[in-house]
Amino acid sequence: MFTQNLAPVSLIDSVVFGDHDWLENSVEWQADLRLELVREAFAHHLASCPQYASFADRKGVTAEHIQTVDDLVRIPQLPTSVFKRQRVLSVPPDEIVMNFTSSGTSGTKSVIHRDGVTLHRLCGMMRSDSPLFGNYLDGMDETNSTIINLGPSRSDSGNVWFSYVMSLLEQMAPMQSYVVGSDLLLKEAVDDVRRSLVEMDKVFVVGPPFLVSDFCQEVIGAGAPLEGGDSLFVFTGGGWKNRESERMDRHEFNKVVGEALSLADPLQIRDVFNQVELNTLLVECEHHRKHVPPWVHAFTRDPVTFEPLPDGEAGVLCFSDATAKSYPCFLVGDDVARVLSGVCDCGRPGVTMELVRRLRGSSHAGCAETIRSTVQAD
Amino acid sequence: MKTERLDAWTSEGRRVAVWRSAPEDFAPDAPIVVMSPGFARRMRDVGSIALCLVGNGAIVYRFDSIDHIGLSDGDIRNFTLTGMRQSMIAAIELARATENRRGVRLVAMSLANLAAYQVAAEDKDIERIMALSGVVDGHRTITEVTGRDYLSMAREELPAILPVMGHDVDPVPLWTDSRETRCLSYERTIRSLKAISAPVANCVAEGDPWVDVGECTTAYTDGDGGERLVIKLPYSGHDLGRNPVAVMTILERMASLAIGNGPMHDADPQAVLMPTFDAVLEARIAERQQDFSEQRAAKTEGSPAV
Amino acid sequence: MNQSEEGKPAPRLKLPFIVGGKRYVAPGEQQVLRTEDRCEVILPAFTADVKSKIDGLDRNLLRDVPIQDIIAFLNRVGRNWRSSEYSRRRLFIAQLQMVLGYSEEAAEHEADWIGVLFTSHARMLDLLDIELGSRFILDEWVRSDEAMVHAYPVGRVTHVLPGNVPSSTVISLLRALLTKNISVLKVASGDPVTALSLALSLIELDASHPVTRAVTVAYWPEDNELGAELIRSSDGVVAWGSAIAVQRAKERCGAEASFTPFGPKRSLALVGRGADPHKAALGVAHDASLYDQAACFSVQEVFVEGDLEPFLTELDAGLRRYESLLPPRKLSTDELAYLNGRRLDQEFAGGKLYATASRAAIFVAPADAQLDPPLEAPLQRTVIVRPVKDLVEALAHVDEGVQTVAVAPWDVIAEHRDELAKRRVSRIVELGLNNVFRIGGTHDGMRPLQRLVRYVSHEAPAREFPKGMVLPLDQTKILENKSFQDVVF
Repeated sequence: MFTQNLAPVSLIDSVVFGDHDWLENSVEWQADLRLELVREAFAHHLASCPQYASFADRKGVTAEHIQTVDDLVRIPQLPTSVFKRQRVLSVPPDEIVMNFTSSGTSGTKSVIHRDGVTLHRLCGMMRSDSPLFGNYLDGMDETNSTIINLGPSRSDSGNVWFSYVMSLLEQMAPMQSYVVGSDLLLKEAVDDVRRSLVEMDKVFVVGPPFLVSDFCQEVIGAGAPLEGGDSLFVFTGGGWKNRESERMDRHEFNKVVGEALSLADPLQIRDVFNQVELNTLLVECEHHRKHVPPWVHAFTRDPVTFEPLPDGEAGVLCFSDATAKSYPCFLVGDDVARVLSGVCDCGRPGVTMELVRRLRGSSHAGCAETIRSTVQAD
Repeated sequence: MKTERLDAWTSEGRRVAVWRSAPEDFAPDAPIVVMSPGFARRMRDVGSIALCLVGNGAIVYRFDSIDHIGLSDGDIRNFTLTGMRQSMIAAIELARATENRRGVRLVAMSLANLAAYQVAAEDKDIERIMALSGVVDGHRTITEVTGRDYLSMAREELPAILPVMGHDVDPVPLWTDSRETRCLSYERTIRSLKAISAPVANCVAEGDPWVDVGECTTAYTDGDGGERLVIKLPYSGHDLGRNPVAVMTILERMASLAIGNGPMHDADPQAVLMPTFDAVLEARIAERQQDFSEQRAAKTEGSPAV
Repeated sequence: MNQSEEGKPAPRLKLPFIVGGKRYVAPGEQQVLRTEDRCEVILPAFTADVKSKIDGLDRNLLRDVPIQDIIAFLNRVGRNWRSSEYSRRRLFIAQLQMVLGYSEEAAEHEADWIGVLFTSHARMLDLLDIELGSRFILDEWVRSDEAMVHAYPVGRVTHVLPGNVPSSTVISLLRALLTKNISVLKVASGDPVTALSLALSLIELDASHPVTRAVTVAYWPEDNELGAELIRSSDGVVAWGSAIAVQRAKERCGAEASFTPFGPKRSLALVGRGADPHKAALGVAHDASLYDQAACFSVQEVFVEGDLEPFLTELDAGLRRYESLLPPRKLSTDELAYLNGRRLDQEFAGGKLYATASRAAIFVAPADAQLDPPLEAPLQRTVIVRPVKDLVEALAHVDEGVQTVAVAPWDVIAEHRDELAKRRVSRIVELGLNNVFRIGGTHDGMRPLQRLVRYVSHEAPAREFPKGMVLPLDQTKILENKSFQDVVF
């Protein structure tokens, strides 16, 4: 009789994939877990990413400095622009599975290199019984639900992160995607929703808010009401992109969508926050606050000093995400937000985030060259 | 990976749905693996293992048991281990007939491990058995899962319906099967293991509430009919498939055992070619679609399949 | 956070367009420009009506106005600007602070520059002499060897202006007026103030003067088709600013129209071993502080040969001194966040933060730093110091994107001038003088006035012996006698 042992699974994996509902635990318990997970990730990137280790060294921060939850803000963070210009890896290059970019139509895009473990962790949190989704997906399974994706299929989404993430929802239930090439097949999508409402218990329409808005206009234009009732759910993400001028505030959006789709409850509409540099989905609860799981440390910085701000103060949103193995996901983000620790109005304890707005990019309008053209060799 | 749907038949003429997956080109001596998902799991739920085995040259037959969820005849309400065993035998015979070879390897999940031992105890052409969270004491595991020892109760004490892992099960067929064949007993496992000369391995999580590592070690010591290997997984939970990072580690080990020919304890996991992240995802979604379309086809035909 | 987060409304400023020297106030539609969180500027919409009025302007309005009259008028305008009591100047200073976030000192400095540039009548005549060959050439036929040459305006010049360097607007307009063109000043959303202030100061002096009527000021968003059409139908386009803005203007420029691109460029400094650290550092501080590095001549990087520490100490002091002399522009919270992000990026790339003042910062690039493209320059008085063993090492960082190389001590330039020129730099100046474009100097490799005129030559008749011939030019006879090679020497 022989016995052998396999390598232990990491704490982060046991939290991401485990059955444990962290939302049942106190804010303090979650904070302690967060400390352990993010510190472990910090140690990993210090050991595996020479560029990051050198940066942390210049900043004078080592893993030993991270002893309490309050120390997490000391972890050196990178502006997203770093990922626009260079490869920052914490795993050997041959372990990279895919290189993702943001979905913008102009400007230099971030490129995030993800390995299998990093992607698996993202996939692992995208399950209907994950605490990440609160109770939004309760009762959803692959036999009683269908997803209408107002975006490209995974194979068509290429390296565009947002499209890819949305397409991963297909893990949870069969999905039909209605962006083909650059065309959104609105009529077909609406027809599919009508059909699915007859055949399925739950129908999810997922996509960026401006395409959901288009979808609703198509429904209204068709003249035949769509009775979403308590079976139709709308899951948005990704913001308004280059249709920012059409942005509706959340209350108005819910009203327009709720009426167009005859939803029984506006809570059937939820939004998710994500960006290509972040490896976790932050999903909105019933009170429109985005819940931050214990493997992500979120806080804000004063835009003037970049010093961390106290709970609840609007500032530059920053993340440290422990699920990213292939790159140091310690980010100074591009949004203005408030981060709160405590028991949310929805009753769940933990950290929540309220997005205020996107930071405006460079307003530089002079004639100084800010990004140098290629230097000639001779 | 190319997967085709086949039908096998039990000795009682009931249809067992089988998926045969094979590499585009395979060697004449490619290992033939018959794989059974555990209770309340479909054959498409073990797609990533099949993908890995096929990627390493094996021909894989998966099946849904009769009287179970999935594409085969019957309903899980009437589940029995004997039904699972009969399904396994049908799949093995189909594989032999199709590939025109006798040697078959078994990969079993959870409760299907008991069926695998019982089959192999009477079939000398089973070359090796690999289990993941393989149950060795069915009686104890079912008691743990259901929260009460229904199998020891008097028949009239049994409830009309027993909810097990999200499914309503009529306890009577299971109770009767257990009483008549002792198929769920630890003693039967030991008897089977003593009769199996082929190598046997079991990957068990140390924190598995339903399968105890110590119990498995004891069973393998007591049922020492050939090489026995316990691989301890420092994880918690019984449903290891839920943690894809753990699954990739386990897969590597499982595949090395399933396709190897030497002693199991010498198998080299490094030699295994792992499927890509996207391939696993694609296979999972494609197989769900295949499953659904076969279900729809079965309904159209008026078949008794679920 | 900013005003919108705090719930305070941003101040509003309502401005007109100027069309052909007249105020144009929109009867209905409006455009709202939000300059960061500082204020909202309300402008008329750029409608078909505006465009048709611009299209109706006489492109030859200034053609027959003598240069001396143009310069004299500009001089009178400039004298107004030189007076600190001039109300337009006071308003301009206030608006630069409100809209662009300038400090009062920096805004005053800009107003001073307008006064100086408009009153530089002698320099203007020199400029015509140097760039066009004669200061008379726009007024009359000027002998040019065997021809008489007359320069005429190209017609209507559209200026796509930058948002952060007011003096570019002044220079662009002056060049167009000096060459007798009528101008459409398409302002940037970041600075709708400068061009309007200039145009209004012309109106205030004499609304009927042809120079006043030669000036139009408008704004349209990038994707406005009417604006694009206006550029397409212009006789000349002068484009300043970002690569995208310049590229877009070029794409819209008519095939036969002249196109004059300015930007984007960067500038750098070379500090040789013999330089006085105090003097050199103060020069860098000046060149990096003016316009908060938004100008193409702003120094972004300094290559320092020899002992670094004394230079760094002096540079830190110099930047602080300039924060008092020309306090930095007030930045919005978003601009500050962006600046902090870019500086953090410098640190990640290996830059060592040496010192920060209230706005300025000095990064030192160690040998292993990766401060190369496409790392984005933070600007806003962020100086990257690169220690070198020999200034020759700096050449590897010089390409056609470099406009100005500022040098100290002055004598080291003899050694590097040719190599820098080969690498396509545009200007070489002494440290501290980046913003002073000397008479006779070039701008981004050009003599820009030449792009704003068309030359007509009135050439000598047959009776005048061509150079190289000693008899009249009778081509028929030459062909008949097959004597071409005999008569032309």
